[in-house]
Amino acid sequence: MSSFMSASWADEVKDRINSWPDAERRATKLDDFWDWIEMVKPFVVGRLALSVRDMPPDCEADTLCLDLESGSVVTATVCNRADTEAEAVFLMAGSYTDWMALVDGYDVGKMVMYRKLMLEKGDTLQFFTAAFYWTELLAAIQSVPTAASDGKLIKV
Amino acid sequence: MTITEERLDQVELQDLNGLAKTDIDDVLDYVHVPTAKIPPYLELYDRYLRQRWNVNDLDFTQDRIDWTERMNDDSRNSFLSIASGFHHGERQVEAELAPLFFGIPEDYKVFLTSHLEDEARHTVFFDRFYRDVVGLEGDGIMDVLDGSWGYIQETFVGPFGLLAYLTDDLRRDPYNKHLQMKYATTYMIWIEGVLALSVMKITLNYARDFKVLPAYYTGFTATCRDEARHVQGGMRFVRQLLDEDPNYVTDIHDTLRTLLTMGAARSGYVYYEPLGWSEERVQALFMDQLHKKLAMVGVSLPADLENMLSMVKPTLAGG
Repeated sequence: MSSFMSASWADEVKDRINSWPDAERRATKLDDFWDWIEMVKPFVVGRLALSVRDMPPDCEADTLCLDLESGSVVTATVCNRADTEAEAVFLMAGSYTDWMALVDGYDVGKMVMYRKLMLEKGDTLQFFTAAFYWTELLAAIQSVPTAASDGKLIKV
Repeated sequence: MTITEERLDQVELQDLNGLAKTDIDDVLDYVHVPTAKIPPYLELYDRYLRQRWNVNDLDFTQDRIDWTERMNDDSRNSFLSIASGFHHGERQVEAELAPLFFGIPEDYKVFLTSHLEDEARHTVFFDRFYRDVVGLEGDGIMDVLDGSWGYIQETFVGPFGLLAYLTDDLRRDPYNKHLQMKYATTYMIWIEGVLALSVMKITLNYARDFKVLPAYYTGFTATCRDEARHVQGGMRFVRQLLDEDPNYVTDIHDTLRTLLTMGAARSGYVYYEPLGWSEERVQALFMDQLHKKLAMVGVSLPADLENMLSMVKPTLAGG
């Protein structure tokens, strides 16, 4: 199982986002919802950086970089925030505790609504034009089995 | 129909007992006044002092009986699908108001203190309703909110997430008037002025027509009257910004463009029919409410936004 914020985890996240939603997830919502996401995907272009503000020491990286083209992930890498912030169109960041809660199943809508993840770079109106694309992207990340940086199992 | 002076006075002056007998349609009419007649902030504050009500004066005993014995499963589910939007919405508009204080006119700051207190009281009102009538339990406000989260659709996060993130933008740059306008458009025009004032009518009309949930009707009608002050204060602020620089209208339009894009999404159906409504009727209410708010501040919608408005899915509640 890949560790959170590792290169192998980023690869799994990429595959999961690009095949999202699975049949089980799709069935939980109206087709209208998925049609809306398909409608906004062509406008989802550029780098999204997802960062941990207080990553424990000795970790490989603190930021997941997703390069998006029409809503599909072209490359997914992990790096340090300082190395990617300038290139990112949007950068969202949260505490390590909140990231662990997310990968453990905490509601993705609450992650946004309660600002557990904050938009620290990027135009807010532009970001919300694709709001539900982003929440589903978080749900896809959440569905990837992950171990914490100390090796503790978080999500199976 | 224009509200008569006599009915306006009735809405204006009633205490809680009087509001129990006040028609919600009169309260909704009470919101809309022409630009020139929007009261000054300190007059709105004075109204607050006269209209303030105590959430602990409400007795939900009969509501609990109605909920368990007179309403059926369909009615309860439809009711919760709508009321839960307010349960969470009131908390959101309470929690997201503070950063606006820094950069607004001095008189508005005074009125905004009352607005904030109102929203806290509305949050407690819904907390009491969910505990005493619906039967949710929890140690604090958030426990009970978590209990009703299951009735919230994913799309609720659209306008309320936008508000949360604009609040954070405003916290970082509170004197930025473009940000203030985007925030006011999201909070006062869309969430309070359109979503809340449209959807309030549904559960209140149900309670009135079926003669159920008297404490809910009383408290939520009082809430609606409070919202009328908030919307009028917000519209005065929007109008002031536009008077300073008419180009701020672009911020209104850009924000509405984002809100209406999100508003075209829905993840599930809300069944309005058990409460005596249809989706088309709610959608028409949304359109009417937005046009009325924009008329209050003298702003029109460009053709693309009119078209987007006609495609909004009315599945969201407000705060």
